[in-house]
Amino acid sequence: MRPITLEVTDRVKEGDGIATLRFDRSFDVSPGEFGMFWVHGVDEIPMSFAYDDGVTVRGVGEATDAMLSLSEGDTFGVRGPFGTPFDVPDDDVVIVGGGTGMAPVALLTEAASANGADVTTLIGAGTADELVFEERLSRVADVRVATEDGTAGYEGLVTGLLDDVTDEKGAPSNVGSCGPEPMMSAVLDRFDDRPGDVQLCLERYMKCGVGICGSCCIDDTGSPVCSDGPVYRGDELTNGEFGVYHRDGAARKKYF
Amino acid sequence: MSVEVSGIGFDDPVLLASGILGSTGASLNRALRSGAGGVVTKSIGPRERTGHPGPNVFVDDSEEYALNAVGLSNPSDAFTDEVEKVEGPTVVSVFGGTADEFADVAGTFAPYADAFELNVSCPHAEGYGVDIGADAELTRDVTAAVDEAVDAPVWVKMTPDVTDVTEIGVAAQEGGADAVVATNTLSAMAIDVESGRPILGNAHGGMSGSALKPVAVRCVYDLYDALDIPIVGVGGVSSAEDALEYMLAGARAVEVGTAVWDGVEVLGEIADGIETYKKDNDLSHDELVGRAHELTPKEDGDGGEG
Repeated sequence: MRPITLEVTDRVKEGDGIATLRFDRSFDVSPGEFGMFWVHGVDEIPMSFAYDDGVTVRGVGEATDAMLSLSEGDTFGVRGPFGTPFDVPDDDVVIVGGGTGMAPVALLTEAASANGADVTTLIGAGTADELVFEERLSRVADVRVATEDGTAGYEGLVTGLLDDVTDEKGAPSNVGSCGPEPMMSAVLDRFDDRPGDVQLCLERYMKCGVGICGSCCIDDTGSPVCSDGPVYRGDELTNGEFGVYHRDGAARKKYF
Repeated sequence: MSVEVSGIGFDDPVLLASGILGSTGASLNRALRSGAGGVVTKSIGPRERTGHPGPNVFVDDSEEYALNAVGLSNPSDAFTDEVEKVEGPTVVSVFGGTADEFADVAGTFAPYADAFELNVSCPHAEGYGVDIGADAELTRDVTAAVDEAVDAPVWVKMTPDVTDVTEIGVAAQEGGADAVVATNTLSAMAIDVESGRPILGNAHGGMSGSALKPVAVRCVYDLYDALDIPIVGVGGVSSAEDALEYMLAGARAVEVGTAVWDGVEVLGEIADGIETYKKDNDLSHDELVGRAHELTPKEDGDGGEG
């Protein structure tokens, strides 16, 4: 598809260097699906939908900084939604999110709740100012937060909080996660006896978004994250690059 | 089912085209597992490049074509770690700005390549690609430099953006090419009407997909008349029927690119369809290749050079 032009209808500051842009068109989006967002004159980058009509942007580079500088009435383009989304559970699920991974975590939390699932969502951040969607998700799920500096909730990594929640509630039937890959890898490690029950949403460098160019293919399956993923089950990610490295725009390996 | 092109054997005549899913050893192996008889790597150059700003690729809503301006992104020598993992016939695509650069890159990959494909036809990277392949003399020089530097067969990928593709094909053959590949993408542009901007970050790009096929089939047909070396057809192959069109025009094998967006399994499906056609029509591969020429009415003084 060609890019569609969107107009910013609202801009909400979510935290330090993080904002949500709502736009003038609603998409049929499933949790984990992404768009290729085109900041005119700058670049095109993959970002997960955080709402059916919105994205949550964290400034991590030229294109995301340019996205953050947009205000109401400004326009940008999008291709999508693309990708293979989460299977939405209907029994019980613990969802672990952090950083830019909170967009799919939010949609998954809401979709699982709407499906009748008992949902516990854990939000991790470095500090309280970086926590996003705590209030939004508390309406539909048991939300717990962890901050590395202890400024809110559990003090430490969100995986420590996950251990506490598992002790308290017992092992969940389903696990979902999106966020920094070392975090997701640590989540998967805790369920290494049943990795197929763990769904993980990956971030990779992408150019085409539709499974042609190969920029996002992961080792050692060669699977293109943009079309087979971004959501994989843990048993599809063993013996490969998951949690170890990713590739940049020149296909050079970058270790986490 | 196996075919031979320039002395290299392939399990089937359907190869993964350059620049498609070809950035890593694992992704190339995935194409082989999906039925490709061989794979062509992403084009590798003398220096690492991240390519153009996006948008880099889009498939038109009609699904008849895609435009891309990836910009020859590649990890250069670091790709040796990837290509050594490939478990099947491997054609390493190389590019450079000069004949020496082509020869240097090919030399680096000589231990891993069953054949080389020279990208003298990328339409969207200044100083590379079509800047060489639209010029017969430069094409001859680059081909000769690589031919001298490596023992493996050298394939030269043609641009369709020339008045007479056979002039470039003949130059490649004179330079020592063992095959030509026709064709690369066609120089193209698309503009986003709502924003008024060219869609591709590089503005100019290359068109691939079904819309390219009649142009590239014509190139293959003309090259078959003009050359003694084998031809590999590429451009808009998404079905066995498309592949057969190229073979009837004169291609011994085809490469498949854009069509993998529907799933890489298409590679094996095309190979199976070619085999079925040959059986149903009781044709050997050699009888199939170029058969359309025998069935073409010739006007006096035309087309007799084959």
